[in-house]
Order: sequence, then C-alpha cells, then structure tokens
Amino acid sequence: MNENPNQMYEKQDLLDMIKEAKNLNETELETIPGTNVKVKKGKSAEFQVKAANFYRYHYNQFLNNNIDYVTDIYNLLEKEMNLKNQEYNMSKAYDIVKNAEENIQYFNNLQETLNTVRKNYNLKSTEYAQFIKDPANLQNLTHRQELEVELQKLAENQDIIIKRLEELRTNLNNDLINVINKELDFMHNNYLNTLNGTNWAFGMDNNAVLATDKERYDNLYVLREILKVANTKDVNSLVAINNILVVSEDQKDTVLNLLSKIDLFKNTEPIPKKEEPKRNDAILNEIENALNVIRGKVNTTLGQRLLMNAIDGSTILNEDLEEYNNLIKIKEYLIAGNFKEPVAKIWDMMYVEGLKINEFTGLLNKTNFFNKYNPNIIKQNENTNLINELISYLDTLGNKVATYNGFSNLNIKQTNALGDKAWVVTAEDLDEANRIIAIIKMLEVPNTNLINVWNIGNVASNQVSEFKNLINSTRYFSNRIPELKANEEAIEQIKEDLKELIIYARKNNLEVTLMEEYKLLDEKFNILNKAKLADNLVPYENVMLPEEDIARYQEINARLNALKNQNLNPENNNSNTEPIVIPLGTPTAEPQPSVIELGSVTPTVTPQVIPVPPTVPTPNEAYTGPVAEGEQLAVSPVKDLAVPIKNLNINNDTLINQNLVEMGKLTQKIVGYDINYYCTTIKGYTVLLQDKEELETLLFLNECLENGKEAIDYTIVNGIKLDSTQVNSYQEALAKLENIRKTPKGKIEPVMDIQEPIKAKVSVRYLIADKLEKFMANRKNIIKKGLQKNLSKIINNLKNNEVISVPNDTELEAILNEHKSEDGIESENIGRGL
Amino acid sequence: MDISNVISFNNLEYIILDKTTLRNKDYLYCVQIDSNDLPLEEYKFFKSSIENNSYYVEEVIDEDLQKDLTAIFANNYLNEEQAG
Repeated sequence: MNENPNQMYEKQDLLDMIKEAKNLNETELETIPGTNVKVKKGKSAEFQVKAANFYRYHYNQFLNNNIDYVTDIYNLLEKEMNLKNQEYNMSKAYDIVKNAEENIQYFNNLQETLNTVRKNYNLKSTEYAQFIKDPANLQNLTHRQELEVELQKLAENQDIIIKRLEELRTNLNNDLINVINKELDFMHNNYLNTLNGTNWAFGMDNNAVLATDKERYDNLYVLREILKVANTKDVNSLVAINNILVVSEDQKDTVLNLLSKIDLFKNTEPIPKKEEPKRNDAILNEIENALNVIRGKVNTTLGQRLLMNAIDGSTILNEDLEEYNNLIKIKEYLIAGNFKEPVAKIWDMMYVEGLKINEFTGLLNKTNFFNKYNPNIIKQNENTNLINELISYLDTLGNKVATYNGFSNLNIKQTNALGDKAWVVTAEDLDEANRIIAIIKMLEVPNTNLINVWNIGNVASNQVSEFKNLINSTRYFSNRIPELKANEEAIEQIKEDLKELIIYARKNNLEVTLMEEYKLLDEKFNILNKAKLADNLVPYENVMLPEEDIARYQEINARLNALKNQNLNPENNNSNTEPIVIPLGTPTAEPQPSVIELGSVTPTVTPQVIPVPPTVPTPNEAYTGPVAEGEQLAVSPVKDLAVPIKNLNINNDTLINQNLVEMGKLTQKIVGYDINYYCTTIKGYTVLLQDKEELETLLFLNECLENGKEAIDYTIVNGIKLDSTQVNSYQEALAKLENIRKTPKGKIEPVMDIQEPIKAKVSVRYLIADKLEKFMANRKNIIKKGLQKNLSKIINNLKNNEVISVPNDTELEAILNEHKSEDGIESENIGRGL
Repeated sequence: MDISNVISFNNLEYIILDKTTLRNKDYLYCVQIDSNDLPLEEYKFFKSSIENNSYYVEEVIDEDLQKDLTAIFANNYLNEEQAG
C-alpha cells in the first residue's frame, strides 16, 4: 500500500516512541489508560493522537470511541518493526554468504588437495626410508635421486597450498570481522544517540550499549575475538563453518553455538544442495517407459504368441526381442555415460563414453525407438514432405496449361523428366519447373550426412551451394529465404558511401586519390552480397559473414579507417583541403563565465581543429557546435558544412553534440593499433585503453545532459537543464574530465608488455576412434609429464623470488600480541568517545 | 568441451587432458598436438566459457592461478592413479 507523507511522518513518530519505550526503565514509563501499551511518561496523549491519525490513514475510516485502536496500531507497528529487523538480518546474511561463497568453495577444494598431496608425501617417504635401509640399493643412486626429487616436489607443493589456505582463511575471517565491527559500532552509537533515562549496560569490552542490545553485542564481540585467534591457528586444524568463516576444530562447537544465537547469522547455514539430474536421465526415463510398454504387451496381446527371454531375464514377445535387447544395451551405455569421462555427445541429447561411440550409434540405428530422434531420419522425412509439396506445385504449374485450353497459340513446353514423369507447362514457367525438378532430384539422393539449408530442405554437404542457388532462383521459395537484415542495412550504407565518394571525388578531381577507398568499399559490398549464399555464416560486428571472409573484412575495415584518418589529418592530406577552425569551450557572443564552468567540457579558449570527414555529409549533418560571433571559418571544400552560428544559446543538445565530436576524435586515435591489444569498446565506441576513462566520462556527461532534457525535477544551472539529483555528479564529471586531459598520457606499450589474455572462439572436434584409443591409453603419462614441467617452473620461480615459511611459535606469539594491542587501542578510543 | 576433444586456438590445436571448475569458472588443461594429433611439449591452461552457444577459451596467464590449477590437476592425477 502506498503511504502518503502525513501517514509516513505519523508512523515514524509512533515507531520512535515504541523504540524509545522499549529501552527505558519501568520508572520512566506510563501505561496508556485502557490498554497495556507503555510509553515514556508524558507521551501518552501524544501517542493516542498520533495513533488515531495513523488509524484513519491506514484503514481509511474514522474511529469509533473504542480505545482498542491504540493497541491495534501498537501491535501493527511493533510487528512491522520486527519484520524490518528480520529483513535486515536476512539481507545481511545473504550478503555475507554471497561474499564468502567462492572463497569457501576454493578453501574446501584446496584442503582436499592438501590431504591428497600429504598422503602421497607420506607414502613416498616410507618408500624412500625402506629404499635407503636396504644395503642392496646402495649402488642405485639414480633411483634414490629420483625419489628425493619427488619428495622435494611434493613438499614444495604442500607449502604452496598451505600458503594459499592461510591467505583464504585470513581473508574470509577478516571480511566477517569487518561486518561485526560495523554492527558493534552501530549498537554503541544507538546508545550514544539515546536520551538520558535509557536502560543501558556495559558490553564485554566495557562499551556502553542499550540493555536490549547487550546480549547480541556480547555474542558478536566474542565471535570477533574467536575469529582473530582462528587467524593465527595452524591450517591443518581448520574447518569452514556455515559457508562464511574458518576456525580451528577446537573452536567449532563454541562458534556454532554463538552463530545460532546471533540473529545476523541464523540464515547463513548451508542449504542442502538438491541432487542435480544426471545428463542422460531424461532419455533413460523414456527408455524405461518404452521397455515397460514392451513388457506389458505380453499380457495384453491376444492369441498364441511365441515368448522369449530377454537379456535382462524379462519375458517378452519374440517379435520385440531385438528391439528390447537393443534398448537394454543402450540403457547400459547411457547409465555409464552418466558417470564416466570422457564422454561424447550423440545427436545433441545423449552422452556416451568417448571410446564407445561407434558401437553405440550402431545400436541406435538398429533400434526403432530412436527413429524419432535420429537426425538423419528426421531430415529424410522432412525431405519427403518437401518433395510431395514440390510435386503438387509442379502439378499446379501443369494445370495452368489446362486452364489456358482454347488458346491455340499458347506456347507450351515439356519439362525435364523426374523419373518416368514430366510436366507440360507454359513456356514462361519452364525454367521454374525445371529448377523445382532439379531441387527434387537433390532431395531424393540418399545420404547419411545431410545438412539443413535455411530450414527448407536437407542436402549433402557438397551440394549446399548449388541447392541454395536453385532455391534463390525459384519463385516458389522466394518468401522462405531468410533475410540477412543486418547485411542488407550494411549493403545500403556502402551504396550510400560509394555514391557520396564518387560525387566528392568528381567534384574535387580526386578520382585517383580515392580509388583505393572505392575499391575497398566495392570489395566489402561483394563480401556482404556473397554472404547471402554462404552456409557457414558467423556474426561479426553487426553483420553475418562467411567464416573464411572475416579476416579480409576486418582488413578492409582497418584499411578504410586508416585511409579516413589519412584524409582527415591535414598534414598527410595532399589535397588543398583546409580544416574548419572552430573554437570549443568559449562559445557565446555574450560570454557567461558560469556557462563555461558547467557547460563546456574544454575550459581553454585555444581554437581546436575539427577535421572534415572525407565523405560529404548532407548539409543537415553539418557541425552545429558553438561558434563564436565573428569567428572566421577557414575555407572548406564543403562549403555547406560551415554554418556559423551567431548569438548562440547554449543548451543540452549543443553540449551533447560537442561531446560527441570529442568522442569521435577519441575513436579516430585507434587507427593503426591492434584493437585486440590496445583498445576497448564501450557502448559502441572503440578507443585506446588509455582513453577509456575519458570516453566513460564523456558518455556520462551526455547521459546527464540527456536525462536533464526529460527530467521532471530539474535544475537549470547556467542555462543547462539537469536532473536535480545529477547536478553534483555532472560537475564532478566535468572536473574529472579536466584532470584526465591535464594528465599526460604515456606512449602506448608494445604488444609484448601487455598481459591481456586473448579470448577466442574455438571450434571443437573429436579424435577418430583409433587415435582416441591411443590418446586415452597415454593420457595419464602426458598429464604427468606436463605437471612435472609446471611444477619445476613454479619451484624455480619460488626459489628465485619467494620465501615460503610457516610462522614458528615465537612469530605466532608476536602476531597474537599485535592483535591484543590493536584491541586495546580500539577500546580506549571508543571509551573516549563516551 | 570434454576430455579428449580437440580445440583450435590461435591457429594451433590442443587436446583437452583434464578439466576442472574453480570459483565458478571452468578451466582446461591442454597439450598442443601436431598435424597427426600427437602431443607436443607445449602445455596450457585455458579458461573456457560458453557464450551464444559457442565455446570460447582464453589462456591463463596469471601465475598464481597457474599454481592453483597445477595443484588441482596434480590432485586429479594422483586420484586417478590411485583408482587405477
């Protein structure tokens, strides 16, 4: 229910009075006559009046003379107060668990790993001890050294894991200590903010808190101290509790007891995980149902039938024996596929051990139950349906001749033969009919590896292009060919660009200079056009392209950008083109300093060069940014572009345009750099990594300006309309932008120095059966070899750079003392605050 | 992507030796293979993900993460060894 402001004020006052009364001594309270409600002495009448008002708002009805409304409202608000507390605790608990989730999982994994490594170390130690004891081995130094190296590696590995465990333990516990500290401070402040006469008590650390908070305060305090001690304990004794903290085994019971008492942690108990369905469970259920049906047929089939025993001992009809046994065998493969690795995915729905693919698919093909899932059978059925559809179409074309009967000079032709059949059609339909017949012939060819084309039909992989060509040239399929809308738009854009380029080149005698750009645009056009017939389209930027053309398309774009930049850069431009000089930042004829302060993103008055784009925009695309009165515009080849604006009024749109120009300049800077390494794309703008912050700030400024245009609650600051809530952040962003621009940006680092990982789309293929078998036989050896390599690398690095040490007793004591002294300081400060 | 699958990355082919999940991210342990699908000496850790029904990988270059993954895959290996 929405509350009106009056209702909210009344409610807040009432809540304050209830809270206040809960923390006062009995002697400070009075009971509202006729009720059990207690409030601070002298506030009885006020409570009644406010309760009466709130009653009217809340229930939308006037009071009768019954005093019960006081109790009613009191109970209602007390309940809401408790609910809010609960909600607060629930949300806090969620944050705590969410925050710790990854680290706890990681901690548990590492603990498991440590146990295994340790077990192996012990086994190896025993082997080593026995080996050196035996006098017969005295001469076998090689094996002895091998054992020593293995032992050393295991020991070093243990050290690495222990170090990580300690880090995780400390991080997890410190996060929780921070949460507890905030809660303790909050409770102490609650006391400080309450008036005299409040019922209060000393917490365990001698801080004063409200009496009602004391138990919670003490429990949290004890938990915090336990966590501090846990941070110094040996990792071997650690256990993770409630997915939020890590303590030693001996602290576990105390902590569990404490957690159950503290409302904040009651909701952090781990939720038992539901067992996830296994990957083959769905199809296994279906098979089980099919088996039941077959078994059931024994009882439901009338007459004498031959009964047989299936491989699982069930009695079934003889005619079902093969199907039944196949299903049982398939079931076994699928059950194994639920648990074993590695697996291969069959027909996009079943998982089977990699080595059993051939046997399994052989069984599937022999089992009628799987016909409905067999992609090839499905595709063949689709083809049969399409063939029937096309034959009907041919009949329709043939019927047109019958309709024309009576026209003696009708030009009719016979189509190519389809088997022993041919159609007589009008001459104008002949090509269409022959193409349809060719399509049918393609669809009729039996094949085991059919590829679906545009959801129309399925053909062998080597016929896809031919099939597409035929489909493209028939009238019948004209509405069923998927449109590549994005490509169409891109094609239209290229046509426009080419048109403008030609006009511009002719007008300025630049045909030769711009020939490369023309050719590149033409090639881009052809690639996009060709994509219509391709069967391996992948998304690239905003269009769909054949996989093999992506690299070239990328090259063309890069080259076009480079050319554009070259034409934009006055130094490199061989033409007589002069840039338009437009001052940014001091835009008005009647200067208003405050406008510049807030509205302009460039505080200097130095004229800046706005480059003229090489292609000719229409006049209405011309730069409409601020131009000072009387400012001379340089001679431009595109006269229409130069629109001097006098008596300019700064508004949101002007500034938005100005920022867009700035953003455009940033995007131009990427030319010549590999975008994978040096650039980042934000909201469609690709800029150098070092310009990221500037771009983000400009985007934010524009967002504020856009928001301001539509804002209902707005503030006009120096002519600019801003959403009232964004005035400060807008100003801060302007200051930030100024700083960013003042700070010199370093030269871009070479590729090798940038450690950005490359993310790439990958294709996956399976090994063929004999290679897979060999690989699986050798897999463990290959892994072992690789791990040995990795471990030696890590150990070498550790030897060179890191010193691993577990704190000894003296160091531990020092750490403990450090914590104690920290606590002392903390308590003392809070004491002073009192 | 499963163990024994072959993936192409940077025009090179790798076979997946093992995989694991760490802090909700999937990681692969791979060895580069030659044109006859035989393993070479180049081992890599990749972070794998699925976006828009396509597989993506990126090489793990963070040394700390490499250490953690080495420990985990070593653990997997030892477990497999013990299981026979």
